[in-house]
Amino acid sequence: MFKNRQIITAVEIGTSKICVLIGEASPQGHLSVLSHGETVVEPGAVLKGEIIDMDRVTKNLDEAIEKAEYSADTEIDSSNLYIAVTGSHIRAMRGSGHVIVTGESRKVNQEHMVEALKNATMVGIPPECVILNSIDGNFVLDGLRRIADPEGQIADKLEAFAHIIYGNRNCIENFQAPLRELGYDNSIPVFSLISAASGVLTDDELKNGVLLIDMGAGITEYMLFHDSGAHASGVIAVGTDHIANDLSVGLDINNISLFRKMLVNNTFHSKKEQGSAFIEIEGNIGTRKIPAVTIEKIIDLRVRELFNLILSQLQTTKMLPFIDRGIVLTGGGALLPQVRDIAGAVFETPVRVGNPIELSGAVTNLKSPRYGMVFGLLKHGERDRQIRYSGASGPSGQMIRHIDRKLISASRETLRLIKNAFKF
Amino acid sequence: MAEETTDILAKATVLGLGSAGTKVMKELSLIGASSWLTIGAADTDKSSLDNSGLANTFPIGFEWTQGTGCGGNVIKGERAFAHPSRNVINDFIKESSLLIVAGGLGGGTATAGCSSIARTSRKLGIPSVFIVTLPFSFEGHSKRELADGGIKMLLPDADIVIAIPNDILYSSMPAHTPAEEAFRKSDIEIARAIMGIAEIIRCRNLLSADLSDFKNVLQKRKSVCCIGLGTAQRSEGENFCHAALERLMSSPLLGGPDSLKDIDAAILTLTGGPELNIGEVRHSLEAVQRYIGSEVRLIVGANTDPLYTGFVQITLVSVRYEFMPEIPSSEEKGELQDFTEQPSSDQPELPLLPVSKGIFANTSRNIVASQDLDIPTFLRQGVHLDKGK
Repeated sequence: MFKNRQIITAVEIGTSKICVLIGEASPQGHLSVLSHGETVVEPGAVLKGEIIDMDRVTKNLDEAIEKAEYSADTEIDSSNLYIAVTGSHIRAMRGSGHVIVTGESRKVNQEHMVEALKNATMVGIPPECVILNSIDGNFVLDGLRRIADPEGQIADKLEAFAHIIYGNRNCIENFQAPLRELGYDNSIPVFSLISAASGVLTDDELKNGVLLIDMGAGITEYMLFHDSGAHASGVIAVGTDHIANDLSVGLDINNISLFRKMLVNNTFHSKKEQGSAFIEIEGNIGTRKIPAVTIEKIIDLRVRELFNLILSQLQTTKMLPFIDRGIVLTGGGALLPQVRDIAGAVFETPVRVGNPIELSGAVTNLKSPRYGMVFGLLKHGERDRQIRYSGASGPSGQMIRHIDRKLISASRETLRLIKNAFKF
Repeated sequence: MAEETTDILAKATVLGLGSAGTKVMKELSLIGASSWLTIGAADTDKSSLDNSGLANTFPIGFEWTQGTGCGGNVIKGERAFAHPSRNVINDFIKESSLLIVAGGLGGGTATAGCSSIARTSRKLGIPSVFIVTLPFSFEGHSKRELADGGIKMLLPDADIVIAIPNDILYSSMPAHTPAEEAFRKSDIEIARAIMGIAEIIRCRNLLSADLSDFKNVLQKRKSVCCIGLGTAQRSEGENFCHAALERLMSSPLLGGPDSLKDIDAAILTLTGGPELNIGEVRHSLEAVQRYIGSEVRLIVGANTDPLYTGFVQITLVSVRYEFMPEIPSSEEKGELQDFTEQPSSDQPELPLLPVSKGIFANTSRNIVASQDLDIPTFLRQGVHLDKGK
């Protein structure tokens, strides 16, 4: 069916970097990364995941796209262009829908599942919001049994639960705007943590329960998975930029980019490993010797507060006991050893760094949690592309398991999408 | 006329008082779906009644004002309403199940007339709703005092008083709006609010909400209430309910969607043609519910009417209590109530100490669990730091 090679592009407009990945899907559906274009965002153009300065972002994005196109020696296919969307405006809710199982045998079939999922995604959201993505949680049979794949089971009533992520329409379109400016009109927005989940989580983790935390420069997102479904998620507009800002305010050194750089290079941690009690920082008036304890304290307070906020938000869902595989930490924050330690201490579970998995292709320098999300977006895009192009029956006859549809472009036939939806 | 087509139970009478009220009635009569309402206007000024083009007009006290109006004199207005000529108004309202009165306070006729009509309707046992506008701030202090006095006189007898400052009506329009259009638009806005409130008493056939619900919510005095209304044509496409909601949220009288976040109660009514289906009802009502949060006391009514064929109208009356009077339980009655602890809200700390947000100084607010996360944690927790040398 796919005779020609398919070019897929993933774009991330982050607080610290703009990253463009170009990938190629073989006819067998195998994905390899062709090229990687990245530019550092000018300081202050993106803050807390929100674009502040559209002109500078557009300029930087243009450079990143150019770099990626140059090294891939190909042009971006604008019909397969995916953009990661984040921001504190994003909310999640749980939708539920049910169908009465009809037919003589009362056996649940695919049509029942589609219908139940369709009902589950018909939720009321505030008028200025749009549904960004939805992931189904699981099915419940007769209100008694929770099950991930109910096909063939005998039941009277089938309930479906979907985790629906929605956000402010204008904020979402703000992410698409720089691409539109550059002539790519049909970018497809995807919630960035859904991409990260595709990029860094293994099937085993998704099945047995895991808490994925993506701590970027401007914003931290989390989502709890169990039984291959999402159960809780949230966005907190605190990232490593806040650590840098806290240090800058707390130490009276008005040089935010210096602290950003020190965080990226892990200067504080390596100094501590070397056993030095003071860290010398070039301040406004000469070099200052600052106690390592002070710096550690500032970082500790900020990060601990962040994870405690996530913990308290998750405690209301009563899903925390289900994270058998612990925490996967991705994004730039995962590179800070202190952040990993505190996450483990707050949640009392093991913590793993989420590097991109199943990475193949010419580009090798992507094996870092910094690229977990954008690589996942590429993978997610490839699956989404297959759904969009594969017609009535899913690739390799795979069953409807999971939906992930976008209501953003109204032209999509929603039913067809559900029928061909995928599993994480 | 309307009486023949609609249920006698739901006969709503709308009366405009004074020249401002008459203008609102004129606009109301031009709205297509208003034909079930009985509309009338009363004024001491002959020319305003003549220009209205309404079927029921009641000249008041023409015998001794010679039809020239009260000229802002409340005593004159009171005299006019004491005159035998006002009996026609009593006849006009006596068979209705709801009386809605609109007028602009601060002049003579409406300021005096509202309280007079309120007394009559109380005597006749007709529930009454008063939608009155308050004068512009630039019209001066004396007019404002007149209007305040009018409201004080009105409150004991009226069931519901909704006072709308004129300043609000115009604050939502761009400054370059032609003056004539601006005044007309504000009249239309009030007329639409009247439509929305009148709709409440008819919500019997799908989901019931009625005037007693409305009274119940507003009974705590000192509540501030806003009205929003949105309509959309079915021909606007599949999302027409959403379009109606969006218009509702941008209604000038509602004060924007942000104002819905801190309300205490809301009355929501949805009216559509007979073709309205349950999915549409559910979808739009759920959307509003999510908008205003779960702690708000919400009263929902839905209704269908052949007059609304092809379009849908959503009305939201939001109520915010100025203070929360705890109703004491029977044992505690008479004892002094302690101030209950305020529920946690999205309000940041008062900036009593100069705190630095650094690079986040001019970004969107970041309040989670009453904490401004953009302020460094050590500052908020008051941790002392050794800054070195």
